Amino acid sequence: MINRFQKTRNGVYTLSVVAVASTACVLFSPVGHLGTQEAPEADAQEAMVASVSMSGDKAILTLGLADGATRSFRLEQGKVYIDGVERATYEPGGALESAWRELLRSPAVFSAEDLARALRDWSAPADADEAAAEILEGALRSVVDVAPVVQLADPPAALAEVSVEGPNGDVSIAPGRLSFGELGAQLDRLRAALDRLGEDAADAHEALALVVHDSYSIPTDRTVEGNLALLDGELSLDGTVAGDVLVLDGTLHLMPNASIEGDILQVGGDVEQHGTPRIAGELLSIVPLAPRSAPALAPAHEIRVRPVSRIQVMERNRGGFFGSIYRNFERAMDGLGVTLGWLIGLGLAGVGLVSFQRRRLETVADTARNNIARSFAVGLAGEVLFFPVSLILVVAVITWLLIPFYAVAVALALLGGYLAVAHAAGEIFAARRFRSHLLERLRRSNSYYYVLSGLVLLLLPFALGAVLWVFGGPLSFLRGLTLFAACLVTWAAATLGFGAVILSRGGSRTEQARGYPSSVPFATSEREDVA
Amino acid sequence: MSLSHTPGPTHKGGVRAAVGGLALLALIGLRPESLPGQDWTEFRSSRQAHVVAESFVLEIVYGVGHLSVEPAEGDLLYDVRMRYDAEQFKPVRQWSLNEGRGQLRVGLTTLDDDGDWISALASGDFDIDPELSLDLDDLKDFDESAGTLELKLGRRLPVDLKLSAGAVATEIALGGVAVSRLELITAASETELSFDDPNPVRMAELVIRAGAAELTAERLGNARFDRFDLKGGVGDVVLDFTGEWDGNATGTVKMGLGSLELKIPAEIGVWIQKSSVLTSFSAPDLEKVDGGYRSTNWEGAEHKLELDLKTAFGTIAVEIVP
Repeated sequence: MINRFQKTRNGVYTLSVVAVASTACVLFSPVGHLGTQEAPEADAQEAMVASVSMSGDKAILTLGLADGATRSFRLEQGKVYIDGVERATYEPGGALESAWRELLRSPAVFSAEDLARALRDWSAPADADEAAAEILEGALRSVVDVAPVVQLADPPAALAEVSVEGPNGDVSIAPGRLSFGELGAQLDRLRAALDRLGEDAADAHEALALVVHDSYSIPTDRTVEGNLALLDGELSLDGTVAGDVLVLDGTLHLMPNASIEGDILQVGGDVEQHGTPRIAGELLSIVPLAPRSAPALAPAHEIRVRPVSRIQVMERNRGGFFGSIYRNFERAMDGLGVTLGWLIGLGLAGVGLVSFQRRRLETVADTARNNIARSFAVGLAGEVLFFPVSLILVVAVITWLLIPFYAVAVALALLGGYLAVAHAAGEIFAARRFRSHLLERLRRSNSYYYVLSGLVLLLLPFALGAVLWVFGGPLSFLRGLTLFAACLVTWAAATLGFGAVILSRGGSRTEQARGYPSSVPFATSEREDVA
Repeated sequence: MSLSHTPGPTHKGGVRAAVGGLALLALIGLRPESLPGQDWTEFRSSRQAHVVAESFVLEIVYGVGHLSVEPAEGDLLYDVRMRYDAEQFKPVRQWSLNEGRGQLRVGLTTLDDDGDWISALASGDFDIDPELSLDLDDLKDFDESAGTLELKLGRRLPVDLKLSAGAVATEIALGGVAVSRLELITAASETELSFDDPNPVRMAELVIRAGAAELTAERLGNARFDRFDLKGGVGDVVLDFTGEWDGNATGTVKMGLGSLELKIPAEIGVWIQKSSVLTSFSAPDLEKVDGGYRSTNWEGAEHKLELDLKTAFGTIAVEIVP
């Protein structure tokens, strides 16, 4: 059976069926069945090897005798070879060759009981080349009369051998026990492997000279001219393969004397090397592993990498278009969740501040509104001076105890200032008139509302940046810009509030809060309401 | 920006190495969503030494997992095996043989944002994509899902070896392997490099680029290098220069942030030039001369090692070992 792999335009390798080539050769080594290698030693000593190899221009019978000797009988291109020595000539395709091929295709050759008799009884037809027929018959009888040939195995593949007519002559085919399903699965694996290998497998489309789908052996003195494929079973290779070897499944045993002139491509099964077989090319293997074979690293090999920084992971496309949408939506929800968390946290802090220090909060908020530039400048100066002051506190040893208080005070001032700015922003928001009835209904005039609405306003850019994840990569620049703006607004608010806290001495001095615009009715009314 | 060439002053070199390492890590296949047991596949490529007559160049680019290199037995030129998740990666192998010089490049490709296969090998260099970044905190998730790459190198032919490793645990044992040049690029990894047996040939250059990594190099004297060049970003580095020295060597070590420990065999002479920003230097066995530090046996030592250390922040400790 000859398989030919051809590459289509899109680069996918396909298998064209069971074609026949002039170089085709089908080799059967029935007695070399690997199962017999485990036979008891007594039986093994009586083992004989009978193998048949036929192609369009040659037909070979090889007999292995009990004493280990090998005899070969070959008709090839008009010449009769006995043990490799040319002994006679015959007419190619004539009566002698036809009778010889008929003998080699005979089931008797592969029968333990009938082999010796079949060889002894074989005779060339009357119209065959007389000299050649006589030499061949004599050589056969000299073997079987001296040492009985015993067939040890009876592989079904050989028994089912048939001869088919191909475009370049008759070729023997040995159908085995390989089902279409099994063959299809192997070919699928081959296609997948070739696809994974890509251009690296560009030369893997040569015709196959030998396809093995059962358990055979190729002895030391045997050469397979061309490429070889192992579809299933076991192949013990101790001889030579002039081309490449493709292992789809089964086990390829590379014995010490094996020699492969080309590459070995393994897409399934096993390749076992015994000794040091010679491989002129590359052993290339790409084999799916069973799930349990997924590499589990030994404890010593576990990755232990210390995190040195935290950088946003940019996940890559996986799962197609809808997968991308899902992941983008997921990112957006994550971002919104984080923003909501900050809103709740800061909101609780703001509510607590309004509840217990409302007057101070309002004073700071008014200071920030009324003296924006000054508050911001003072806040910026306070931030800039933070580290020098800290350093001074560190250097002056006696002031070490002040460091935690100083740090906490600055942190509280930043937080309180930020909330005060949120209060101010909420107050400004509440002072606006909206066309929307919904917004008008939502409007309230108390410090709780101011703080919460102000926080919503300040955190809104973060939420917007998170929402932009939904649109994926195309708006990544805008998303980055939004998040940058959000960070800028947050820093500006904290700085402004920090400065207002400093100017108002934590809300205890109202001088900087004066000059409140009279056009903001809700602010004043709120004070009255609360008061 | 190229990872393989990261020039610049001390701290810049370190930072570039770190950034480049991170980018390499991302580029060559860090996938935070990796899950174990997707489609595990084993890729193997091996050749026997007789196919190459003179020299051999081998380049490995490997992203996430465990990388090991060790000497091969028998007549092998190389034998590389990779286990990877075929759902995410595809093996790349490029082989060429010209005038007796074999060249092999092995690595994995992965999918980019457009679903196309990209490979660090394709361009022959590792360009940094600003869109690609990573979260090192996620690396712990790769313990179970990471693949493996096992490389065995034959001893017969000199090999010019270039290893680029991302977030991997790397064990490189090159004792007895004929290495004519070694370039090791690691991003965020734990790397162990050792030369238990002497290098049969002189190594022209031993280049190491370490991003955020722990690097331990043992028995570097057996490497028999002429020149040593290390650029480290962040991490702890131990350089053990013991071994069988058979010549003089020079070296440059540039570190950004971390600790550097040097172990110098007592029988060789060492001269250290140091320039640093905020780095503590401890070399009790060396004497200070002409702005540098040298061992007391410098004048009469048969083999000498000159080191130029440039560090930004961290510690340097030099120990003379018997």
